[in-house]
Amino acid sequence: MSKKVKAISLLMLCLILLLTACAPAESAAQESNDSGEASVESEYAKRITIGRLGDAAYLDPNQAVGVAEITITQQIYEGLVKASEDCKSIVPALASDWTISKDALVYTFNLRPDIKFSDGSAVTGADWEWSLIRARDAETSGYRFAAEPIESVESDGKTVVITLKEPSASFLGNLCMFNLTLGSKAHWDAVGEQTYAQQPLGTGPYMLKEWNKEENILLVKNPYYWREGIPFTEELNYKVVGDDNTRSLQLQSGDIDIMMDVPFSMVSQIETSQNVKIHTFPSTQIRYFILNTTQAPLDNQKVRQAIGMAIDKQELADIVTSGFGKPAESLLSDTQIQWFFDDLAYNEYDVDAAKALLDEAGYPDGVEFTISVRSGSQVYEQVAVMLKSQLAKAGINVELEMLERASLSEKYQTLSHEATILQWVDDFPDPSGIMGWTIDYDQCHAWYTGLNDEDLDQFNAAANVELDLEKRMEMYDEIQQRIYDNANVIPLFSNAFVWASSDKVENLKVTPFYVQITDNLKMKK
Amino acid sequence: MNGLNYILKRILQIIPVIFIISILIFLMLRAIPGDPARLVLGEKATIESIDAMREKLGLNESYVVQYGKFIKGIVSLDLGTSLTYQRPVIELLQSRVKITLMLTLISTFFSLLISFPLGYYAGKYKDSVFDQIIKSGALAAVSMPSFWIGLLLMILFGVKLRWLPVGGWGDTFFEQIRSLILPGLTMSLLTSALLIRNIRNSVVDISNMDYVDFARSKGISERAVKNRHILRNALISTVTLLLMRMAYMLGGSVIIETVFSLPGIGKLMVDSIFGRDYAVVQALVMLFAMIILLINLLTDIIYSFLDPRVKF
Repeated sequence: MSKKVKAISLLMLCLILLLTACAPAESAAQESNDSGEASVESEYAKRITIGRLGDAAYLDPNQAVGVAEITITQQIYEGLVKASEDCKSIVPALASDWTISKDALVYTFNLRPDIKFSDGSAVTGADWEWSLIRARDAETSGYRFAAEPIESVESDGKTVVITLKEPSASFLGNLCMFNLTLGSKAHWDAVGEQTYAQQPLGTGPYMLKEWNKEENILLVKNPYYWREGIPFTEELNYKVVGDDNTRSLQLQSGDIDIMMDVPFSMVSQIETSQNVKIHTFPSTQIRYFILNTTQAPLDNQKVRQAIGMAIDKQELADIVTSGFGKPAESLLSDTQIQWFFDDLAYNEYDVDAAKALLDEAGYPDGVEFTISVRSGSQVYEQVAVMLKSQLAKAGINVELEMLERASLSEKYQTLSHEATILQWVDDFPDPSGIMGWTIDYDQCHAWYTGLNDEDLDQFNAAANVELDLEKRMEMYDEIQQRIYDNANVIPLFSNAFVWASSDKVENLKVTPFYVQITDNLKMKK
Repeated sequence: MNGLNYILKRILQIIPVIFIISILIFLMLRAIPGDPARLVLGEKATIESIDAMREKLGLNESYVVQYGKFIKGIVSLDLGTSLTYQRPVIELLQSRVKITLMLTLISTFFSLLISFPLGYYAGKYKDSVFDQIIKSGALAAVSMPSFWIGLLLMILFGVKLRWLPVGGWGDTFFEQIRSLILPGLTMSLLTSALLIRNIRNSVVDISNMDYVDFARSKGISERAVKNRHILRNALISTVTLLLMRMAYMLGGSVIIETVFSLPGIGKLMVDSIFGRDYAVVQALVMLFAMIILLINLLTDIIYSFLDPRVKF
């Protein structure tokens, strides 16, 4: 027996050594750099592998989508217009130009000629009509609001004419959203809704080649893409690596070439590893302290303002974002330059003033409440712990409650939470998205704060249909100030998006709206 | 024949147990707060879209109707559609079960390879230096968090030596086996530690038994004593432990699967609970229940072969 055991052990050891010694063919190929003649073709890798947090559930832009889905659908589907790379303006996409009628109800888009889907079939007017109406009517979409203003769509294949129910100043911006994109009606008719969500077909730079659930999504260059010579890289392989540490190790070992979403706390460690570089991109991401105004003592505006004064936002930004963030005062990101209110009147961090204000509000002995935070998010947990210690200095005693996503969202719906921490990333170059979310009581009780400020609500609705740009900007300035004064949503800090990649990767770009621009993304072999 | 009757009886006993489990999981899932429709639609969904989604998912029907559909599904092997993935649950399970099964087998193989020789010799040379080292090693393996061991192995074999992939799942069978070595090894450490202690103690106890002395006094070779008397009897309790560990491993280790980014059923279970994906959680719980019950049955059957004193 013991001889047998020894023999078997030896055999197994040999087998393991054999398995471990056989490096995969790709890396062997990568190491051989005796390419002889260096043409541009052979200088760059055919495939770039991108490690990300989670897999998409489906790839249908008109079904509810999270960031895992949007990242991919934005490579496959395109709309009439899109946000520029700096997200400050709206630029043509499948439409070459457009006109808007005087009454702002009719939008006429001239389409680029000879656009084809990635299977080679031609785009027809019916595809446009179907896609835009579906974006408005798809019952399962969480983003229907962007298409809500549409009354009707008519297209002859050369133009798309969209008629609105009522004027909407933000409508052109809405058209930059990922759900107002062009899909193939014929494909949908042929395969049905469920398969359509698993087998996307669009006109974008890439198309789906292979999808192994929870493992990877392999995109390959669309041969019929209308922009000459784009994209540069043949294949993008989005690999799911849920664990942050594993993702960073995979980057260091060369298993992946790009690491999405680097936790701030890991940046310094990743920077020290060889052949890897960190990329930071301006973003519209802001974290907010959400106070439920239906619960005492947070129903008192002065208490809320005191809380805002007792928060050292600079310290929060420095520690939580490891220097990749800065304090935020306005609800709106300063990346949305023309809409951002530069002259916002805000209160400096001042513990004594906060105490005095609490006293004035009738709480000389301070207040108590609970912050409910989503568990499992390092950033949220860090922010909550720091808020607890900062607020304590002003006599504000905070309990922390960690909850998983579903329980927390149940609390939000019933307004049974007291305070929480949430975040926002803009989707299109217009302030109406976050403003509606924060002010409109019907959308989600004014972002789970329960503040029904009808006057502000009407003013915001008016800003939404104001077509004079200058006037509209002034209105949004006032709205930003009023939201600040209400202090039901307290902006904490904004931060950059941080990614990492092999130092062979070139032209890695992510927009402030978290869209990956892959046109000229390339990687040296 | 008796044995066959016993097995049949045991299989019949499984049915009411499964039935009770099905009711429990159905009610527990719905008792925890959280609206599946809202979770699917995401934060920016309006109240109307959530209502429409609830209607579409059949969440507005009574519990009796929903439970009836669930049981009908189990009987007809149609486990419904996953809420999160919008695909048939059966389809979702197929590839994942395969990964978890392979991981369990590789891990079991490593456990046996490590624990039998070490456990046996530690028991045979009780209180020797070797025994002390093995005992401390087993204690350390039980105490160390598996995600940490996993990360260390990845840094050593993946980043520094580049012998094995750092997590992930390969395309070919050969690559898949390679990608399972590190997670398999990590997963096997705890099982090995438990088995080593168990085997060692059994060997110590059995070696002091009268029948072992008697066998030796009959002049039977030491090897035969070891194989026929000591090891065989040490196997009895070890098999139970190993099979229980296997049942646990088949349930998928969320930590191992997350650290090594393997799309197995452990991670699916946790994600589905967080996403309130009722159909998937129900299917998985039923699957685990079946596995546990069958492994229990299997343990008893194997027992009867190993230990002639056990009679049905």
